[in-house]
Amino acid sequence: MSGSSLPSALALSLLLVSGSLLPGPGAAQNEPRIVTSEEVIIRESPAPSVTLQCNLTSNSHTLTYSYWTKNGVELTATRKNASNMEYRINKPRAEDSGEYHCVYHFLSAPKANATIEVKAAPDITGHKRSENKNEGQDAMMYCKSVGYPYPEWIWRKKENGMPMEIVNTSGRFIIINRENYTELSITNLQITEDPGEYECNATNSIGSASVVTILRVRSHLAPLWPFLGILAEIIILVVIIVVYEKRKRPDEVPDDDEPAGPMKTNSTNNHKDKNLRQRNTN
Amino acid sequence: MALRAEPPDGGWGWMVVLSAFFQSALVFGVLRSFGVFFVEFVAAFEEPAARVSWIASIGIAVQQFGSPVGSALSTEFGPRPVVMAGGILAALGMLLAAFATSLTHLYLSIGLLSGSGWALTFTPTLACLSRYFSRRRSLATGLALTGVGLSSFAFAPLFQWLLSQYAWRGALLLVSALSLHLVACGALLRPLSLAEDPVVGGPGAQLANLLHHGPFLRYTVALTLINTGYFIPYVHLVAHLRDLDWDPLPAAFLLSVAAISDPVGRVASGWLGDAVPGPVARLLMLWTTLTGVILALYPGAQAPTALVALTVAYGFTSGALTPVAFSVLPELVGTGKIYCGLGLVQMVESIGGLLGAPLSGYLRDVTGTYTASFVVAGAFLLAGSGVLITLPHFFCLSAPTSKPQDPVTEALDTKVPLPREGLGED
Repeated sequence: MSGSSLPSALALSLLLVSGSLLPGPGAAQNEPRIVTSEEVIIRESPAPSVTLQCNLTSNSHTLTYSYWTKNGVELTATRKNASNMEYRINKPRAEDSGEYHCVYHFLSAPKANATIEVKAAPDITGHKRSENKNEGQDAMMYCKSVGYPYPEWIWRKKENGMPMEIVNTSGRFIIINRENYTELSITNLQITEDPGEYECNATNSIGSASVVTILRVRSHLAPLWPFLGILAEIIILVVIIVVYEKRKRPDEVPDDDEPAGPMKTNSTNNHKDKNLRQRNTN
Repeated sequence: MALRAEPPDGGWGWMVVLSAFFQSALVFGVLRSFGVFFVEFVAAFEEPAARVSWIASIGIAVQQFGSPVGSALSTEFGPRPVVMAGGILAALGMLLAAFATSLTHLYLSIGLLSGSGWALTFTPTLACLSRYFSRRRSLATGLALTGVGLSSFAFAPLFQWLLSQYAWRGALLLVSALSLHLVACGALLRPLSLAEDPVVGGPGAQLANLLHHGPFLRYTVALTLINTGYFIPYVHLVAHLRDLDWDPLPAAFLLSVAAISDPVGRVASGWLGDAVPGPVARLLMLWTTLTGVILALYPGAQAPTALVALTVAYGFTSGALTPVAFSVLPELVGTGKIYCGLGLVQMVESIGGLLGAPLSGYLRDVTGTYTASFVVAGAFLLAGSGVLITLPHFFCLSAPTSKPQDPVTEALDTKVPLPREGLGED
């Protein structure tokens, strides 16, 4: 929660006063001091808009320009020439969290900056809903997150409905963790023990999030049963068709080419007579 | 078996229609839905897309160029054993493909082996169907050919599901089992002996006779021209719509609209072909001309409603011309030579099919839009329908429907030596 600015401003001024009473090196009196607003923690979504403030005080050098950076990258359209810097985040979300710096550049002095941390609980933005592989192949599941501070990743597998941490007894599990990314690889999939629900969990000082990926392992023999079933069905069909035909016309012999066999229709015309004529000449 | 003077026009013929329906589904439906496997092969073998698409091209080419072989064998042994053997070959090709370790294996197993199996099934089945029907031939053919469109609907999602459940090797195994149903379809093709059969002789004699048969040759030329333009919209419609700034999903949806009006056109045209007296070639010319005109109108249509209307009409007319295209042949050459005739026609017209799509793509690359492609496709169709006018008895008010034309029997008397023994097809 961002505290109200009044007591913190008082605390800050107290600090400044006590600091100025301390004897310091001669150059310290010329050091610019920057007063910043408090660190921000984004909790609920949608969260109320947030304004980061930096105020350059006790500066004896000429200011050339100033700007904001987030995680080391300069933010566009923030470059100004002012000692009072403000950066407003409308509708802050987890991806707006990070380490913000207000940076001041001077004409003939090194630049100065101050840090404001914007923290949020991690939000998992990318993962596979399911992974289907054949046994013996390798499976790869990943999770991507946004949020600062960078989370700690834990992979769990649901056994009997309860997520249990993965134990790498077989040596086939490889986990790679980076700041906002984690990857679980399983080599040489075994159909007896590997299929199931795998959960990646991201936890930081503010909160945690987790999502589930379902791993399915296909057996080499799986299509064999339907194949044999269809084969049997076709054989039965062919047998039925052939038997039906034999039973309907038991008197037919394939070699029978009795020339004057009974004609099945009564219509006559020249063509048919021609045919008969040609046949009878044989 | 006793000889029949007339095709039965019903009875067991309807079982042959059923068999032809499932056959066209299992041959062309599988071919058209094979694109689903495409992505898997590219990933599994790490080959570029162009090389993977050769699998389907080889399969189609073998099926079409092998058609005369299927026809000749059917003339000799009857359709039943040939189609059953074809079914076994097609299934065997898919089965071997499930164990493939390189792209070449797939070229040989799916392309060559399954393609040969398909060559032995499709043409003999349609020819057998034409022998079973005379008065209702077009309707029967139209009904049988709806199998192609309906299976394209069903097989694409089915194959996708098989791939996610069993991975591509398991899915190929099950597609092989599916293709084996062709054997059951072949068992339904009960042989029929018609009165004309003993006259026309064996396959060699038939082929020689057909190559000297004027109307048959002109018909083959017409079909080749038609085939060149026929496939263009199916191949390039989506790309043309994207050029007009359509989104991919509505563009694909428009193609399925054509796929719906296609079988409607087939059945309607089949019924019409039987109901209208006179040579069926006239109806073929009507549908071909309409399709050609529609294709030529495509570049002029910009508004979405116009494009939708044109696509629905294209689906209807292009579907309508298929059953009548098959029905013209028995009128020209007689049901006795239908096997060889159909095989030859398939082989020659496939040249048009192979050339049409690349030609259209080339025109698009040269001119920048699909306007030239569509107009040229329409021109091919109109040229084909023009050649159809030269067929015999075209302008008669009524003509015999299933009996062979007079020029054919005269040709038989003079050119083909009558076989003395081994008469009667089984």
